[in-house]
Amino acid sequence: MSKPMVRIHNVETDEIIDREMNDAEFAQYQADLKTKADETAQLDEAANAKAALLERLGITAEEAALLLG
Amino acid sequence: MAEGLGFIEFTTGDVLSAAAANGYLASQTVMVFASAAARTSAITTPYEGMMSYLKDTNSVEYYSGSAWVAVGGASGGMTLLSTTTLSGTSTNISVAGGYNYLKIFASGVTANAGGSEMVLRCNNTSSSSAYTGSAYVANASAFILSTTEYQLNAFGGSVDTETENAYEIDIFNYDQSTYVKAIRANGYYKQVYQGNTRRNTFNSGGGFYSTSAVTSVAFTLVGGNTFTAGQVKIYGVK
Repeated sequence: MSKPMVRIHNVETDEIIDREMNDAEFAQYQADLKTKADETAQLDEAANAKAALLERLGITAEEAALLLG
Repeated sequence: MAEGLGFIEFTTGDVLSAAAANGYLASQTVMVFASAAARTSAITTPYEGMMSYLKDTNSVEYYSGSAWVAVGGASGGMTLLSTTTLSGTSTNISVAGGYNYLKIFASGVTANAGGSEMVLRCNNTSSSSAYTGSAYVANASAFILSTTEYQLNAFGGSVDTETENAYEIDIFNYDQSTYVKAIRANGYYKQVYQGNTRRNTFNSGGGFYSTSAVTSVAFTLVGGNTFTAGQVKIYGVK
């Protein structure tokens, strides 16, 4: 399986290289994916908690914004 | 190439040696090249004070001792250092030293799909506590930025197929060995998030927490997608 591509622009020589990630870059890429997955899970959890609270209170998000505004 | 030797007044009958011709004449002219790459190829060891004209950018530059610097890039002047099209998961762009700060513009940035945040990594560094900062996103709230890279989208924000976006990033004292390179980033980006269209205005301030000079900046999509478009222009500002 090929690794994702990266671009390197050496401005001094104006050379542009498009190549597959090396092992270190790929390790960072995989760490980034995990970070993003964790972040998405947190956001989903927060969104679900918000929706549950609004339902319990019996109000819409717009009505909540009016109360907090 | 010989180092410039300053001034001499030749007298009638003088026979110039190659060293004298190189040092008093050739090295002290305004040398003309097609591009910076052509100049680098021709002059492998530049000396402080050399002058050159680049045809592709129509710029006159002098060698400061560590970098080629535009003449007239005096205090407040901006010199275009590079123009790069974003590609792949990450695009890493080298930067020249010799300026007070870098001003970076990115626009028309798109990815193959939504869901990946765009981040800036100085010297392609991504490690815990390497960055600091906070941001305010209009229609959202204030929040603390990630400490492993410099975020250019809010949490939950991302680059997607929308071209409607523009980012302006300043990196101060970037080529100094001082502790923190202050970063200021402002941006606007349109995205479709969970079926809703968002127009986000992003204002942030923070820094790259390193004593190393910044010699490259990488624009990276965190989340697995790839750039399909986007142009980055980097200016050196005196």
